[in-house]
Amino acid sequence: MKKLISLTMALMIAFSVCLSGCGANGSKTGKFQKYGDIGRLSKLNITEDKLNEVLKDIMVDSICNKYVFYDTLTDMLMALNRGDIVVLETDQNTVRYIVSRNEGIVDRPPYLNPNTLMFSMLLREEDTELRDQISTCITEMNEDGTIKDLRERYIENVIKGDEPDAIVSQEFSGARTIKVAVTGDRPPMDYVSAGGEPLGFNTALIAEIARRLGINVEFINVNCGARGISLATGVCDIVFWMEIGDFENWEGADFEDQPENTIVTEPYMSAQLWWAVRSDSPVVNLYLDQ
Amino acid sequence: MTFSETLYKILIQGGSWKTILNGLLVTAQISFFALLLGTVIGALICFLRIRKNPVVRNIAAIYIAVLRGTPVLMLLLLLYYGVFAGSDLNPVSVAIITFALNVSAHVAELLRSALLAVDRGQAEAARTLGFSAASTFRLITMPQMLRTAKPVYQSTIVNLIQWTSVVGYVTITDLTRVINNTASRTMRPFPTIIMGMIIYLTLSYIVFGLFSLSDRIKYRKRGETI
Repeated sequence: MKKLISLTMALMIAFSVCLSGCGANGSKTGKFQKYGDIGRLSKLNITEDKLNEVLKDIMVDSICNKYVFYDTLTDMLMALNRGDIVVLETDQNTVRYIVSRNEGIVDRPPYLNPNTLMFSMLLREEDTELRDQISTCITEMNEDGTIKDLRERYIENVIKGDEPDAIVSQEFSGARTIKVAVTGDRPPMDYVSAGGEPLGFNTALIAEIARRLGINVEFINVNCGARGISLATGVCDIVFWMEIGDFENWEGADFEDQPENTIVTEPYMSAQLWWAVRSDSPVVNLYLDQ
Repeated sequence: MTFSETLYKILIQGGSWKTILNGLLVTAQISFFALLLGTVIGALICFLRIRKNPVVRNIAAIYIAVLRGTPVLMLLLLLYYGVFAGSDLNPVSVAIITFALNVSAHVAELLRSALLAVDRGQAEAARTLGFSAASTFRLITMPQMLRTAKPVYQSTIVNLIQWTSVVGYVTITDLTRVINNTASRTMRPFPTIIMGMIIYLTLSYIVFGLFSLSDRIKYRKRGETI
């Protein structure tokens, strides 16, 4: 009996030592000291493991260990506050929104690894005609300044504290209705107003595109993790999507995250990939050396 | 931002209480109809599960094992994005069917265990005294069976209300979804989630309250105290 108790105790101690070793912050591997993990919203297709595999070589020289996916911005924000992740990584607009409403969080450019995110829409392969129409519309809206105006109203002003009215889509009798997935999880790009209406830059943009094309639009609130399956099964016709890239090489970019049987529109906007970190995080001090 | 300002922003500003109420109604609607349908199906499955015919009994056993042994979210995704993908059923109807199927397996088992807890000798005595099989079940077995099943059934209802929080995956804006949206918009996750928990807790205690009230009424009718 004594042997059994001793063995159990030994196993428990060994297990505790193993656990305390896992995820220790400040460990040093590669060129830089590691401070913890980076949080990201779930991608459309690529899994957490796959992304970490793809970025394996880059992460060796990063100040973070690996990427961790979260289904909602709320989960990710709580993980940042709790210390599960040291960096919350998303587009610069969302980071600015988070920082403007959280006193304990500051924004920083990605340490030594700047990237540009391109915003576009994904459709099913059979909707090539619609994709082309939307792409043409995006080009026109970029040229006539509509996107710039929408950006000012639904991104810049919202970050400053404005709360725009709900977006009213024009109705065209007998016209096709396209179903657009909104997650409500990426303010100011895509969020849900206090009144329960979809709001944000993406929503305003697609409403304007639908008006120009003379089609109806229906917004469907979909969980971040269910966007891919919603598009594949026809629950929605369009999902908003962002990927690292640039306007020049958009067509040729290697999109690990783009699901099969989908097509992508012209990008309608770009933003820097940006970091939100806790103001008391050691990561903040790194920038003093730069 | 003070606590009262945070509460105002989460609950009142821009009519957000109406959105929360709508989410709550969706949760209540799915839970209520799933429970109703699930109880009927569960009773039927329980009836099949106690049959002497091994084929019927095993089919019922497999039904229970599959539905109790798989996560309800998987079933929801399968039914919504697969089985009913081409149908005109709206997401709420699919959610009701999904949760009804899941609850029916639990109800079937809880009814069966309650049935087994009833002393078989009483039914046999009733039959000896000339009661028909139906009368024996209605007057002797069922009242005792329901009394045994009631506390577990109550927990099943509360569990069901909590399980429905995954319906956001199939485009339904229920209470959890509203709470998530509110947390993302206000950037105040902790107070918003605590608010959501309080609402779910209230809903659960309404269920407990209703059961407790029914007990009180029943005992008062008998002139007993509890």
